[in-house]
Amino acid sequence: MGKFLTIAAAGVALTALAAGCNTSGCQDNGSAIPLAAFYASDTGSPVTLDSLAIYGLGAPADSAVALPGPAIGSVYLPMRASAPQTAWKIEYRYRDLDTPALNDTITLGYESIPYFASADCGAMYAYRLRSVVHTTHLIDSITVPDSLITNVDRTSMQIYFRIATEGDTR
Amino acid sequence: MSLRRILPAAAAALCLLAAAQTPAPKRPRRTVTPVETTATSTQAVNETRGDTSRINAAIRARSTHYHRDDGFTVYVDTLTGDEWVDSTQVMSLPKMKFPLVMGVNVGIDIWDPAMRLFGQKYGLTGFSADVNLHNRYFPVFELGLGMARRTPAGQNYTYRSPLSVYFKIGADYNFLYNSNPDYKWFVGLRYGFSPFTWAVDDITLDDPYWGGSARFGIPSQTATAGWGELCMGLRIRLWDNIHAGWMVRFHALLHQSKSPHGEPWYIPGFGARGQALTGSFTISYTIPVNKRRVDDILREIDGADAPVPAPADTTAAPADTAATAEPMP
Repeated sequence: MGKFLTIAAAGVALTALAAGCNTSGCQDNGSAIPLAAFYASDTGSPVTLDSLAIYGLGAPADSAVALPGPAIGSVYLPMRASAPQTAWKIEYRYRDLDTPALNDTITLGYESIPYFASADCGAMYAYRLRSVVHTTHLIDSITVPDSLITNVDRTSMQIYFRIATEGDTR
Repeated sequence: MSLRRILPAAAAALCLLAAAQTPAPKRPRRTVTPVETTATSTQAVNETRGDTSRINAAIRARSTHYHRDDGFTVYVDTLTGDEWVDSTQVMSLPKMKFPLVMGVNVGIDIWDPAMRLFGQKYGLTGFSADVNLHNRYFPVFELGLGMARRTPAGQNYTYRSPLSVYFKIGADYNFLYNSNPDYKWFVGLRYGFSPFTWAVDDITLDDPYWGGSARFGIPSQTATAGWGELCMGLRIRLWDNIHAGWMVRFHALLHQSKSPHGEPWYIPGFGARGQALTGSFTISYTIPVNKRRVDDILREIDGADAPVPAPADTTAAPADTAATAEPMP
């Protein structure tokens, strides 16, 4: 009996050991949201912009994901899982640029895929980008490093703006 | 008389004269008398003072030796008591005392059923069979069943994996191979494989920006996975042929199939993804083979381990011979 108790006690200790070796929660995002980063088209270097207003076309109450204020170098653009595409409008609230004629629009076409991220992060939709269509007023180009957008926190799109510095006479 | 006649005669006479001459005395041989000093008398000793081969030979000459269980010869300096192993000896495998096939063990793993009592939401049970070779090597085969159903608190889904089978193959090595086979301390390796299916139901998703909510699921996905395990454990005999043992398993995924819907959370036989350690607790029955030879060997082991009886006490007082002496006829 003594032997069995010794073995059982060791098994209880093992239980505690194995139970203690668990994961430490969700390390990524709780949902799949593309992250768009800003770059200068002439140099290719990252830039921050402080006078952008970005809205989702058709979002309730014209809610914005970015407003003029602190300079930002990237922005999350949540996708609409119930539709095959989502459109975003970018307004430039800079002096001499604050006109609707210069606003840019980005339209993303995608496929929504039910996705199980992990036990801690949960289940969500992932998106496979099929098309990226944009106007070219101040946007020069958009590149997509990886067309699969999941909850992993990484840059999904690179938006290259035509940036003019002070003293530029163009 | 002409000169032509005189010269040969003169030459012959000279030759005869030379042969008749006595040999010249030999010159004395040159000899060298060594100089004997304190330095020259100890010169040979000083030159060989550092010769390790001579030193070792002198030590071996005054040493005794014995043979260790692992086959090495151990020398003991009778003057200093120092011991050293003959490093020039080729190592040989120590003799294994037990026969090749000692028995077959079949067991059931009760780890997952016990863990379910503590709230684990996956796993079922496993069965194992291994062959005891020399009480040292244990090739093993495991077969088990696993399933999962879990709705985590605070999450938006229900994970489901129907009953699936898993296989493991490997071997254990018993460090106590020349000791009583009732006790084993071993390490082992396994390769595990499982074909299984998984699905995620009742996913609810609220969209805080675009509004509305969605309810959907991930259809049943067919998957396979293979992994490796490094194990360590103990096993003891409880009574008769019944054994019990626990094992700690460190495992890592080696390969798995891909799915566009993500990765499975639970893999039968492996456990939950993200846990590097797991365990097992096995109750097993041993089918003995070569039992008579094993019993003989165990008697030898017990005899070798038995304490040496104390020598007879010769200082005790002699018996009273007057009281016990036989009467004279």
